[in-house]
Amino acid sequence: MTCKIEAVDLWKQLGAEQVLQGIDLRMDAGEILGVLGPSGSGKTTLIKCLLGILSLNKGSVKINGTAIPNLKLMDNIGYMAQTDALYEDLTGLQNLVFFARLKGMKRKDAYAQACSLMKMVELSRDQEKKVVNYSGGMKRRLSLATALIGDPGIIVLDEPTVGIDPLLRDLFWQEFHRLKACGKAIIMTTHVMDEAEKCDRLILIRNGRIIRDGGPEQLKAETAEGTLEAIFIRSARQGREGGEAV
Amino acid sequence: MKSLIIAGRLIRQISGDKRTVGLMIVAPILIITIIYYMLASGVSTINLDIVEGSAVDHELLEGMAAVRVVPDEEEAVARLEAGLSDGYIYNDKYVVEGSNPGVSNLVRKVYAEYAMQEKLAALPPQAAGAAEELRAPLPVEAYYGGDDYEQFDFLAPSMMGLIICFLIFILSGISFLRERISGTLERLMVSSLRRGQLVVGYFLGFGVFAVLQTVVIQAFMIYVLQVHTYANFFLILLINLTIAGTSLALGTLLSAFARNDFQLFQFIPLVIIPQALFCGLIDMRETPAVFQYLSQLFPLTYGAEALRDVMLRGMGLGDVLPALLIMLGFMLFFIALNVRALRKYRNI
Repeated sequence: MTCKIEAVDLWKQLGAEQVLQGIDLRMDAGEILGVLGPSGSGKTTLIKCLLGILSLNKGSVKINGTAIPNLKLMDNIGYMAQTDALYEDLTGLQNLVFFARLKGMKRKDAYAQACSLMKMVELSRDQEKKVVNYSGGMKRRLSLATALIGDPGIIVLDEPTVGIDPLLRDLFWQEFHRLKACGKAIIMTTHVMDEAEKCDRLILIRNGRIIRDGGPEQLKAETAEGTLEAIFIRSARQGREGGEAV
Repeated sequence: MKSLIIAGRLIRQISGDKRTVGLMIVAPILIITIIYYMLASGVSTINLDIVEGSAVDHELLEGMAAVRVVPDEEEAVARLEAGLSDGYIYNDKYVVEGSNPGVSNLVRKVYAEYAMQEKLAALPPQAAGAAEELRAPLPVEAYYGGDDYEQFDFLAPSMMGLIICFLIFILSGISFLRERISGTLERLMVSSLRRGQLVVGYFLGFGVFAVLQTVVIQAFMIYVLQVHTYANFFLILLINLTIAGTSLALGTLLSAFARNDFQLFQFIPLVIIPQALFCGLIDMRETPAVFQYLSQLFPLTYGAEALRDVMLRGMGLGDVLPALLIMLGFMLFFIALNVRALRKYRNI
């Protein structure tokens, strides 16, 4: 498969803290990569560095062989942040059309794709409502739709299913698998273990380093308990105690 | 093109918020109306008490002040303490309330005029006539404006500039701050939008509201309050847009140093109040030199002076061009700093 993302020796310091410490990462098209790690382990910082919206102290990121940040590449990336990052005084549809237009889409095409995405996230009936009147779950759905506008080849999702009900989570995962089948590269951070098991590949981060990298089954086989949760909890505890081994 | 998309979004957001639109239109009218009536309602007549039995020409004094005769000095003092009189006369004792310098000066002028009139009355008729002739005012011509100009006419241009400066600073600063806090700025940076295009988009979006404010304020001043002004509308609009531009650039820049709305408001005493004090509402001619130099560091000083030149003195574009260029310089400087501050989000 084509290598979509290649990150080499990423180092990032925020304030006095070294948040990323030499991360190397390769990712292919048609792959769902889950980024696991306890709070404060550097997941969001890693994602922002991969996107080019946080500058690196050392290292490089290439997407499709081109170093980022690169303006042309940016329109081929869809990003869903931890916060909903929406304009609450606009309607759901206006939000989508605005971001589509920023990605260079013509007004008519932007509107058509926005309507189609609203349908996909089951917000068609509420697309003319202002976002301020949306529930938390509706905002997450709209935020996902915003990440998918413009049909990006790389989709970066920072805890996309936080605060949403199981039904909606199932809807999201159906969409992620459909996108994967279309050859999209999807990176997502998560704290939900049964969700992590649905990824093709997982990386476990602790103190700014990748300490595990492999498929869910492979990682589970490496522990006595045979669960991802056991790896996660042990990793988090050892991180607090300053240990290295899992 | 992308700047226009940003501008369009801002216009849609703000015009959909009736309260903000109301603030932009109603607040300037309210402020201007209050100041107009406050200035027009200054003290012009003073209240004087005369203690009964004092050797004073009541008729002469009644032509200069609202006079009331009180039975004794105790009553005169009680009325003065109660704020019912501005001073009293008891025999050779001329008393002024004294806590308000403006009113005190008026009382002193009445006393001086009364003394003068009494002395003139004591002169032989021929000498009194000559003295009256000496006191006749000189014919004075106004180079700018005219005798019917009032204090409000002079303050109106500065107020117009100040209101636009303040409201655009607050609205654009908060909009940009919310863009940072809500995460939409990060989302914008994950697109091919350039940092400069974002700032220009903000300028265009808020520029529309600056035009709207200028039209409303100017129409209200000219047609409702009937302020004296040379109606060079497009030049006034150009100056106001430049003021709005510097204010917008400053507001969006300072939002980079605030974590919430409250922290942004903390910049008001540092950047808006000095501009209000230096923009010509208070005459700076005799202030210490340090303040006069300091006033040169604020864009509104130049904007308000340009507005006065155009609205009061009938000057043209050529006369105010240096002020416009200086403000343009401020604006470009703030924009450059803001574009640089946005490097935090993406360094291209």
